[in-house]
Amino acid sequence: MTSSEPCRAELQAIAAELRASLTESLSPDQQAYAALVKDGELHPWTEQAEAIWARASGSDPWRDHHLAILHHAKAYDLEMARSADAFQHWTAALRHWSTVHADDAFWARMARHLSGHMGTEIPPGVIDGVRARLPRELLEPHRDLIAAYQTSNPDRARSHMGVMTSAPFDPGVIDGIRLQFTEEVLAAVPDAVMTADFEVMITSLREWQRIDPDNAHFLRSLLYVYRKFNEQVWDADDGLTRVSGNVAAANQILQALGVSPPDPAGVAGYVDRLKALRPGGLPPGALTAEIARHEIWGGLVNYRLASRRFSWDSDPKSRRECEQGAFRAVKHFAMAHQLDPHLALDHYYAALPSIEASIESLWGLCLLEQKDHVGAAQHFRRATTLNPSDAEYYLGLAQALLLPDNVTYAALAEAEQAISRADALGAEVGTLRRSLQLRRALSLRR
Amino acid sequence: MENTTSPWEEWRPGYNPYRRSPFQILGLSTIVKGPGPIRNAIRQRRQRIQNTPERFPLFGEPLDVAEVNEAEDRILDPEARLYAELCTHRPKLVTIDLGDVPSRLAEVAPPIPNPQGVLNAQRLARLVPAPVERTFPSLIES
Repeated sequence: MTSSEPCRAELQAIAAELRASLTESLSPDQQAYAALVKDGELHPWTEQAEAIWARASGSDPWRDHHLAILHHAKAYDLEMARSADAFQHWTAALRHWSTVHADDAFWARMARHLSGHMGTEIPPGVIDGVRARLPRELLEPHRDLIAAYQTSNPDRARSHMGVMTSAPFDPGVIDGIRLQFTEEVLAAVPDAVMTADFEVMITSLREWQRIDPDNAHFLRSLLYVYRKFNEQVWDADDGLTRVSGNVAAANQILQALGVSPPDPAGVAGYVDRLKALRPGGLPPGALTAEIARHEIWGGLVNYRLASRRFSWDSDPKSRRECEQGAFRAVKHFAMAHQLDPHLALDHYYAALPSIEASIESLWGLCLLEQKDHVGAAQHFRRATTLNPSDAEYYLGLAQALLLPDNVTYAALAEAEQAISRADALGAEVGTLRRSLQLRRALSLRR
Repeated sequence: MENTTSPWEEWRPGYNPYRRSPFQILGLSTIVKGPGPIRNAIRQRRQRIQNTPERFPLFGEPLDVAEVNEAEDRILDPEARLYAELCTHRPKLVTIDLGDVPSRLAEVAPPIPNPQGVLNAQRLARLVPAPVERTFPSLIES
């Protein structure tokens, strides 16, 4: 032992006492702040400071601000390292920033601090301006990161979207940022439709939709591009196959979002759910109108499939499929009308009633073949209402009314009227007239 | 100051707004009060960065005078300073009762040089450089 040992021992004892006394007298926030110092520099975050704040009790007026800085700074560092842990810190940072943003006392303290320490009057509006812009500005890095990761790392882009859309800020602010890149993506849609680059546009929109799944604008545009694609290929040889594929794909998208069209009875609640989709800013009813058109294509696919199944000598299975197809087609059309009562004003869909009349007539024919005369008459009747200028429907109605063994007087009167209308429209009605006379004679005899 | 931009305005690879704030660049605490002391501190910082930048890195990265000048502009502009404050941990001022520590420190005896210390000749000899072999050209012509 050298003679300096007693001196060193005593100093070490005093230092230990001082350390203990400091730890005792410092609040958790002061301890955490002290733990930010590492290698002589005050870091924005350290593991030790984070741990102290994580178990800190009591309160401190600056704690949320400290935690906002700590988590945000850590998120930036982890993001640069492409770490999956970044997201929990992004989320925590925005949560604490949101508390700071809403805390009037924080901004009042900041205003006092600035004027007191800068030695000048703070121009009015500076504090309020920064406070008002804060939420949007805090979300802007996520907008850039989403754009940067869109193709290289879609999962990471999607996670940033999740951080942004779940941030506890005014939904209008989040919508604003979301709409910035939404509009950029959608700007390509008109040209793509014009040049018939449907598949390329659909791929791009679906990629974006994977990143921002419940974006109402992407959903609407995707349905729109599918519809324009359908309109283009419907009359081609493979039109049915391609449109069926598009309709199925669009159905999957709607299903994944939990917004598959319901039964007509549930339309009111369904429309409310569509309205609640973010971001806002779509013209009123625009998404509903697009889903209505999607329903039309669902109806048309079923109609074409059903009509291919029909023939006078078809087997029972084909007849059943034909009837089911017609049933589904009618249901799709009914849904479309519920969703968009002004559908027929769209010039492309102006011929809708005559198509619906054809479906009703096909259904009537299916039932007529199964000897369901009552059902068949109902569908032909509906067909004549939807399209009063096609003689075939009147002929079908008259036939359905006259075929049963027991014909009522009312049925005879209606059949006569139907035959007259068909006659007036230029159809050959000689056989039906003779049949009507025969039926009338038979019923008079009874 | 015109065109004040928020520290979060855009994502820039390698840039963390909490590691390059004007207060950090200037080595200045947010509680330095008044334009005079602030300007003095900045002047001193600029001098140091100009003379020996390698001695004053920020998180391992060297600083230059241009950065100091820009940080000064920001710290003197109310809006830019507010953004800088938002990116900076508020210092925690601590008042500590030292109790009897100062008097005890005063009583600690200074270390006494060891009077019985002797030089160890062998250790000392090891510090002497080894003799170098030298040759000299002969001055006598043969």
